[in-house]
Amino acid sequence: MSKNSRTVVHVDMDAFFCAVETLHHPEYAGKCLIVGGYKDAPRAVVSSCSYEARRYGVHSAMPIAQAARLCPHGIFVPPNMALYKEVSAKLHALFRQIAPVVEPVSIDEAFLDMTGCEHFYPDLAGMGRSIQEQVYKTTGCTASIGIAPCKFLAKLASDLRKPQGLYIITEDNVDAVLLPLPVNKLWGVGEKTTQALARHSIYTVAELRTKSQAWLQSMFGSAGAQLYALARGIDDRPVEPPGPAKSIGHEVTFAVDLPIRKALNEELPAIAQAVARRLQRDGRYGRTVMLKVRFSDFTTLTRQHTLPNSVVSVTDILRAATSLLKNVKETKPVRLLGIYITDLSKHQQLSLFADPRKQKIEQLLRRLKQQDPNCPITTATAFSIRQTGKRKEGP
Amino acid sequence: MEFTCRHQALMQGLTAVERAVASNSPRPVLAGIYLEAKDNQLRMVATDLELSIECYVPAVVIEPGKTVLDGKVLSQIVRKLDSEDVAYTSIDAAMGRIEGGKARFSLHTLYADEFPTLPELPNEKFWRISQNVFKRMVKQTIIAVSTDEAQPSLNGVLLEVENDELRMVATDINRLAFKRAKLAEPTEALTKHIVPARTLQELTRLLSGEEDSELEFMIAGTQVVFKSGSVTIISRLIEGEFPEYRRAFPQTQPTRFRVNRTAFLAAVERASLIARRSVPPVVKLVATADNLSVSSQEAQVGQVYDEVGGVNDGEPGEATYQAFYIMEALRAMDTEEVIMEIGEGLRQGSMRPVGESDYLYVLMPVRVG
Repeated sequence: MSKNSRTVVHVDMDAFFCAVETLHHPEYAGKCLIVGGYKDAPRAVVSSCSYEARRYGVHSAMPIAQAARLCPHGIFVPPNMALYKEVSAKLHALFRQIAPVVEPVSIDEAFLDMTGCEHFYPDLAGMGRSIQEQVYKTTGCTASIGIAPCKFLAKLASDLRKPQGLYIITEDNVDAVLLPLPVNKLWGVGEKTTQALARHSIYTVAELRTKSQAWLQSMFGSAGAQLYALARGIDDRPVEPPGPAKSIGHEVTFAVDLPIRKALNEELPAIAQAVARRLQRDGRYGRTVMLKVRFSDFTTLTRQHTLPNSVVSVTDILRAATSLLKNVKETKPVRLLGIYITDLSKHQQLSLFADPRKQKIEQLLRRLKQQDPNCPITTATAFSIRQTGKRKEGP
Repeated sequence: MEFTCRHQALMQGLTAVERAVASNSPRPVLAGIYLEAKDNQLRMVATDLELSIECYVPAVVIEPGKTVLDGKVLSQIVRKLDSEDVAYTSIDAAMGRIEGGKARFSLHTLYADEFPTLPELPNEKFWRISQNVFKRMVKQTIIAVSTDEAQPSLNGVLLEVENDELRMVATDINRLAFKRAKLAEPTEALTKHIVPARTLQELTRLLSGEEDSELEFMIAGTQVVFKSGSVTIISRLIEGEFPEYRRAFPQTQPTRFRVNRTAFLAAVERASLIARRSVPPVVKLVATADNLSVSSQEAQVGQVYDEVGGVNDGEPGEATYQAFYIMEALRAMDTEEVIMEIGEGLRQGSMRPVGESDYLYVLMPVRVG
């Protein structure tokens, strides 16, 4: 651990969606609550489940159908994202009051850099309990908290005593926590690295610790240095407030896998439309169009193309995405399709040969959308795309 | 085949042709340089099928013949020899020997019969133009060529020949560079063709830049041919429509600011130190009666404000442009003063060298969000 010790707090809400549902439906309290898509939807997975449901082996990302088999008496409710976002906004506002630097991780999770604020609390445990109390007072939901000198250990700690847990990792107990862990608990260690380490009979952090940095680097390149550090509880990544979004996009998982041609003709336009709307709403321009395709066997590919000028309209986005998708040679059915725009900018380079009328219309639409995101005025192209999408959703 | 030639001459020839040697061709023979000795000349050819370069070097031919040697190996060997003369002798159908001083290399040869023949040139008149003028035309237009492979017709420079004039135009749709010059003698019909930027780059590399040397060029079907001294370059033309470039020319510009070119360039270079972190890096120009200010700001970095003096021949005006669009144009010009013209609202701006009416650079502004 470094000399200039930091105090990093990781706050992770306990079964957040379920907790929010229970706030509004007190009758759910103490029951097996499972939030996810509708029970009969073929693709629905568990988004969140109460600790009672977890006792039956239900966990998030499990298909709902399987959860229903494991826990037949469970209460299944579809997610109400608008509601969760509302509570999340309060939660993150509270974080910004508590800590000088906050890095939101997801809707219900954040890192708080409390370095220099220690003297406000009797000790680290007092700090943790105080944050837990404030979170409960503000949201009515409980949180688990990990406190450590770095992000990686703080996140590890918050997971150790869930729910309503509080765990503090210091120099004194870091080895006790870290050494017995399987290597895949280390940040950035996925399936491939785990397998590669297993080939050298390295399964735990303790075993990883016996390896030299030079050896790890020869095996994993620059990631080897990171492994070496993480195995010693060293993680220099700062707690960083969110920068401007790096990409704006939209993706859709289909109810049933589609042949690629059908996905292209029937689904891509609506996705392009959603992306164009988001770009308009945020007042951003981007030059790189990225297409993401996930096939039935979960293999995923991305293709991107950088245009000379920023894409503005749904037609621009659709044209670029269509040509990217047409170049995909796979024949497997498509499970998911997404379009992302990167190289984002608030500025728009204008073109010498653009149609001035088209530019004026786009500029006007953008202004209307920024004033009122629900403004129904749109171009005929976009309108016809939306109509096609609507017809398809019907019976 | 057996010949001897001067080391320096051979080196010059290799330097000319080696840039057309194919690097990753499925046809192995294209990685070679074709050598043909006859009539006291050594003819060298390299081609990647898009671009072909041919060069003649004086040689003492003892036994005429032809062969193909690996281009990279041959150039590297000849570059390292330090004798005055270099000799080549065929050992058999598959081997050749290069000698220079006491060094003696035996090299495997490639099949000369597989080497593509260059197209027959039509028996037409070449257009002629001063090499220096041509070189400068390329330098001033090639900056605006698009690198977007999705728009192949913009990956080259438009060469337009009409009456006694050669015009070069390039655009990446955000900016456009236009340059014209007189041909040595008038010609009749209008012709326009798009020449790949790479061809022009290789060509200008080979032009001597001597005061009175001339470049000859002609269109032969789908190819363009350039001749300079003993070097001939043949390149495919880019097919496709070039945009109606005159549409991009500004009508009247309200703001016409006359400024010292190097001072203006230095100010934009300084401002781009701040701008370079933003996407895209932009600088704002504000022209008053006697001042042109260059400023930029980037939230994560800071801001900069700079001024260059000059004379505004029109009204006050302001616009934001991509910094490197301005810098590239200023670097391509060589007059002491330039005129920066700012369009009205979000219309195109333009830049021209003072005292030269044959160059125009048009650039679209950036709408600042």
